Amino acid sequence: MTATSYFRNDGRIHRYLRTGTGRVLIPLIAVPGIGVVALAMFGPWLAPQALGATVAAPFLPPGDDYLFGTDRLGRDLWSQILYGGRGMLLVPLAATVATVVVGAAAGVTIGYLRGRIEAVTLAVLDLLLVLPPVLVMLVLATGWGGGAPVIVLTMVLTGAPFLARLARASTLEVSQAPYVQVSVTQGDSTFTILRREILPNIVGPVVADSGMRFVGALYLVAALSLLGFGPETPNTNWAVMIRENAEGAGLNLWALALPTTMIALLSISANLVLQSVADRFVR
Amino acid sequence: MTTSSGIAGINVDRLTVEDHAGHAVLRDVSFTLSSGASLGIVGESGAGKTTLALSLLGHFRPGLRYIAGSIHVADQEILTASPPDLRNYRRTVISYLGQDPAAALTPNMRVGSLVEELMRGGRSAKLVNARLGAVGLPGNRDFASRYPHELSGGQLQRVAIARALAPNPAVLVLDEPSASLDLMTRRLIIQEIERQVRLRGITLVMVSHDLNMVARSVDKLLVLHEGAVVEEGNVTATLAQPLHPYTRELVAACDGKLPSVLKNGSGPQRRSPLLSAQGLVASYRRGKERNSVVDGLSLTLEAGECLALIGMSGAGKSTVVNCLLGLLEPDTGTVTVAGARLAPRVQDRTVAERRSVQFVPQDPQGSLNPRRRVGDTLLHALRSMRGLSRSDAETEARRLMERVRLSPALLSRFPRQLSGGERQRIAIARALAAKPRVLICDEVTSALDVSVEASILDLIDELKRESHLAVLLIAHDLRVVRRIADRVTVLHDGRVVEQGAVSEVLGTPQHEFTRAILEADQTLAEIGEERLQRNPDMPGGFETSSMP
Repeated sequence: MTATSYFRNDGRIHRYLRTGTGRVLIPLIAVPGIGVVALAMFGPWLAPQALGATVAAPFLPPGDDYLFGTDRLGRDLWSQILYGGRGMLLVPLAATVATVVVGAAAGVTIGYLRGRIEAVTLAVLDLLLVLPPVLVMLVLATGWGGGAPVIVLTMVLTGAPFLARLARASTLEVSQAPYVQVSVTQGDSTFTILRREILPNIVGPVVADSGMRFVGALYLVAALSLLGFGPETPNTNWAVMIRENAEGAGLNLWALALPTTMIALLSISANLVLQSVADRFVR
Repeated sequence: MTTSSGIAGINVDRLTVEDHAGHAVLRDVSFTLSSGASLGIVGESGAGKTTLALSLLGHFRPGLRYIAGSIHVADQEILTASPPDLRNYRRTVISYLGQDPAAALTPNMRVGSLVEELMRGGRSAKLVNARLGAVGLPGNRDFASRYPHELSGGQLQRVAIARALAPNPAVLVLDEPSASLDLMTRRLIIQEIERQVRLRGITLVMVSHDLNMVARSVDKLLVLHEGAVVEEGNVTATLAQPLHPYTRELVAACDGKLPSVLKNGSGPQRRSPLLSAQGLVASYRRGKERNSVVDGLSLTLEAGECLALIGMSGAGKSTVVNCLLGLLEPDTGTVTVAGARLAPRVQDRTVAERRSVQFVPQDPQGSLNPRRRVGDTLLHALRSMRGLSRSDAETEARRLMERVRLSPALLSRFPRQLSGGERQRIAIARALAAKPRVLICDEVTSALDVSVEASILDLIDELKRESHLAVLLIAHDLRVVRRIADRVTVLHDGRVVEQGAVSEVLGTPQHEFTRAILEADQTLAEIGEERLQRNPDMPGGFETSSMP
């Protein structure tokens, strides 16, 4: 029950999107969402200007030459957006995958084995649960800079405990199922049982939760960049652009609005896509 | 119409309910029930029984909506009632008791408050105690201040009844009452409900797939088949002379076809046992205490023999099974197969030992991994235990499907695309994949309809004969035992209280439980006679509720 009720409480927007009026809205969210992901992924190959090249005066409003005008250093804003997406997509994605793999593996293992291993692991996980992600990230960033490894490590340390608890709770329920007992009596190894019988049946809640983890990781990347730990010039990302261009918003509003919109669209669409995938596993 | 049906009469008029795909779940269902009478609704699972029962409360499960028709209860139109009216109606007029009433009790509320919160008129500790006393519970302060987890299963059921009766309902709706209970407890609970209903002149609607129980408790019968009423009328008359073919099938499946002479007699000549358990003692630790669940049990089973293990819930049947399978390590005692002693834990058994004892679980819902195709499940069992190559395993899987009378085309299905009976056949095929010598079936048919039950039991019987399998059958009613068992062992409180050939044990029952189980196995004709004798006591008897 735990596994399924988790979604039922969590799917209010989804349920609305499945109703008649809601269905009309799907393209309105999905199309920009897919667009943002595609731009983030393939942007660097599509950019009209070279990375970091100053081409005109700072904060020019949108014009014929430059689609959305220019930024603080007179670089083509559109090109910068295209260059700055990949990091915003790939780093949180890597962090999410690492978090899900570590968390789910730990949760499934302790949920199935129970006993002393479970007690000890849970104690450690609970300790990690109380750590604020931003604090952990800043401590790590002070030592190792603002690169992808810091984000990934922060997410694994602070996000995996949530996933482990979720995976453990679902596993406790699934491992009582008769088909698991049969698998035990037929002599399957613990690893085989976890992989064949348990993991496929708890994937739903885990995938649904990973949507939230992705958004969390995205925010960490954004926060780190806003605080000045971001990629070094000329490399950029959308969060860095927000920080750098905030001062010129009066001259060229797009310099601030465009990267902000992109981050918002990316997080919304990632969450919705992962929820839809998870819904498939529930049925 | 409604005026003639009195203060708490029910009048359902051409009710049609559809699911969101537009399939009719109920089609033009009409019936009337006079105040104080009782109605049994029977039919296979999926016939719309629960939908009809819930519609009497003005409730439809998500995904269902009512298309046409009307329901009047106590002169009140239910389907068009406003939400506040409906709430008031559910609170004062009608009470509902679901399949597992005990699960509906809030775990962190005391027994007293559970009953008191629904009482109307005066409330006091004294009145609550009187209510508890009325359903055969201790009506004192100590009991009223207990929490549900401090009570036994039977007590929980009684508390649920007291709670359902607390608002003095005029109508009581029972949906498969106490279906999850064992026979003896179920009988006590049904008797209790019947007594209360008679005492208070409550109009009773009882949904069940157990024809035997319905025949015992109600006046009027409504047979549903695929959402439509196929038969309606006085219960004894209907069951004595069923008009519709479906009803005839139900009645036949319930007792007609069953041999009164035992099918397998006293079993084959005793030889050296194939499976033998000696002096099993098993217990579960709760804190520092050890609760003994199985206490010195011994049983033997020969090849080609079927032993039925029966007993109330909590008698230790499942624990015995877990010990035999090696899922639970017994404190003392040994399990041997063909003279070789098995390791107590399944992890320590060899492949050959594990293959020799196979298990078919109870619940067709949970017996197969919902995320694996049937073929995948079978192939895995064949390859991991018999070490077959992929192509050999595929051939073998097809052969197994034919063996359990299923089309090999089902191999590519997921369990949710199969019926309960088909799933149980697959579970049997998976056990057969190991080429076992002993097959343990844990109440394999308890969740199935009677007609499906018979075919599954016949399959097991056939396998037993053809492959010379030893079958250990955990059962809870005699229909199953009579049909295929050679010998029977009666468990009570972890001890064997009776053991022997089926004919002996059932012919001269010694233990209280064996007698109860025999009584529950009366044929419909016997029940009818018994009812005729006590008919005058039944309010709203046959005269008032007979066919128009």
